Amino acid sequence: MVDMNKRNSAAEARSDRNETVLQLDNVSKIIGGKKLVNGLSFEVKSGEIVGLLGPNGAGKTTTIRMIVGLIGMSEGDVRIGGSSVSKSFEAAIRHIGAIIENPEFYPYMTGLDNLKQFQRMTEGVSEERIREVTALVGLQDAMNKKVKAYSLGMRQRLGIAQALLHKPKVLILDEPTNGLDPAGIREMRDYLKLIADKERIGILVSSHMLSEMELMCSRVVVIQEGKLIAVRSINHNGSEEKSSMSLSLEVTDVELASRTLAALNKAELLSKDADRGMLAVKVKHEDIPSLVKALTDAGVGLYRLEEIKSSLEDEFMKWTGANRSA
Amino acid sequence: MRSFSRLVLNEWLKLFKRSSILVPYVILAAYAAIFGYAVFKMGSEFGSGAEFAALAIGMSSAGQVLPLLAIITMAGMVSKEYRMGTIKLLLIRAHSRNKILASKYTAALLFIISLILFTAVAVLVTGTVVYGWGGEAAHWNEIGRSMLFMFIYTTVYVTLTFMIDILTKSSGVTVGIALFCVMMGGLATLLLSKYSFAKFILFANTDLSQFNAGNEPMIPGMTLPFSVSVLIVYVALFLLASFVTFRKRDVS
Ligand SMILES: Nc1ncnc2c1ncn2[C@@H]1O[C@H](COP(=O)(O)OP(=O)(O)OP(=O)(O)O)[C@@H](O)[C@H]1O
Ligand SMILES: [Mg+2]
Repeated sequence: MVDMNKRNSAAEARSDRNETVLQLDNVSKIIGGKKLVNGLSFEVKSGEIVGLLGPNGAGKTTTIRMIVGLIGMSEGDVRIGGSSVSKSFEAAIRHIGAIIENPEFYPYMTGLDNLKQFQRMTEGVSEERIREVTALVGLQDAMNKKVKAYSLGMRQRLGIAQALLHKPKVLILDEPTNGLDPAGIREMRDYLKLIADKERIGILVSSHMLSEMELMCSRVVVIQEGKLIAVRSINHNGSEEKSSMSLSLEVTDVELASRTLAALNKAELLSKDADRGMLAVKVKHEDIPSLVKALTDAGVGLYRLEEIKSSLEDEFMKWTGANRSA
Repeated sequence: MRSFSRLVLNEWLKLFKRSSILVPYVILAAYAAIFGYAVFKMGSEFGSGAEFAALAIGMSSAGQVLPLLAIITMAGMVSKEYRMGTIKLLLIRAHSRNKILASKYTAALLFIISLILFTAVAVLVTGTVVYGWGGEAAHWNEIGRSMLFMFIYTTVYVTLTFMIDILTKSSGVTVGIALFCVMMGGLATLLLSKYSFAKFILFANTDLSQFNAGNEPMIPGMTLPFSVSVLIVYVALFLLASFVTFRKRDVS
């Protein structure tokens, strides 16, 4: 009997895994005859981090404001945990935690007083939960300081704490790394991954920083001028190490280098530029040391060796660039 | 109901976590002391503290100060949320916008009550210090009546302020317009008093002490029930405009 129960709850947990927690259905926003958001549809599942990607003015913030009901939808609907934002706002919004644009608080109150404001706005948020979320974002020591004395990074973290307080199913963050230093960005990325994984929350993050999105998201939704342009899955499997990668080399002698590499027969030459002393090769990760050794043995001086990254960025420029000129 | 009272508590704390909230109370305490000192110096004789308090809390004395303080404090109650951006966090919780706005208005009414009670205590203390404790039933009645009229007068103007604050989203503009209304409203009514429609003007009706024995109504023919009805209609319209605007407006 006990076993059965266990199995049931395990099955439930498994089905939770792919539950769609946020669903946009043909959402549009028209202001002054202009379609700021145009027939946008996509979904976010629990435990998944989805990036909403687009250049400045693409309509990311407008889309997010519609999702949380701050602005009305001209067309379409948003469903959160099964409830419609336009028809049953209160039922839908209780599943959402969000930071929209900047994390804003009452500056003359302490961090704790601010969180207590949100606690009183929701049923069933315990003192224990407040401690839990402040510990998660590492703000325990700053809770009794006034928010006006917080750094931007601290306010971002308080923003996350506020958004997680009521255990939402969906977390929505508009440019959460805005104004954070590299260490802060990395930390933020780590929380978000942790939260998505541990609490099985579906996360929607908007950004125009592609490199950020690549590191954090399992999927990106690219929009441009309010329209959906592409949806891409991003693989984070650590197979990168084994699979081949592209390298850019800056060497003393391009010709000699390319002959040496051809002889080595482990790297595929992608391009060379004798004037700049650069060449690009495709090589397996484990072959890199032997490649370097072969070059050095052949008397080729190596100034620089760099991985060529960011397929997504190239693709992004292609999508958005192509659209702009159209 | 419990969830609504918690929203009201939130609004109350937003007011009272600021040290500047003490300013209106300090001014009212100073008013009571200065008023007491002034009438004493002028040689006015009062039989008791309550008799003094009845004068000090009247519409033509404390009524010249308290409503202005309430207006200045309440202007910005909604617009500051927009300016600080906190409105976004306020509106993405599981409460309707009606409920959020109603909690703010309720907190505003409680604040007005607190100012009036504080003033009553302050003038009674002053009166007792100078003239001793005590008073006749008539004085206590007058104090109660003045407090009620003060509440109505202040509430009407604060409701107007509340509406302007929501419509303009600017606390500065709101204070300007609301204070202008308080100061020039009476004058405008006076100028227009020869027309019969003048008695429907808001400002002709706000001060109900005009119906006290010995006073003349601003426009002949006005009565207490008439003025109260006019005020109710105005307050309902102000609230309607406030709630409709607040509910419908895109927050961006
Ligand atoms: N209230 C409004 N009225 C008219 N146009 C608006 C309004 N709000 C936004 N816009 C326009 O809608 C477009 C999308 O704006 P939005 O803020 O959603 O872009 P975004 O993708 O968030 O950009 P960013 O990366 O700069 O934050 C912009 O061209 C903007 O000028
Ligand atoms: Mg934006």
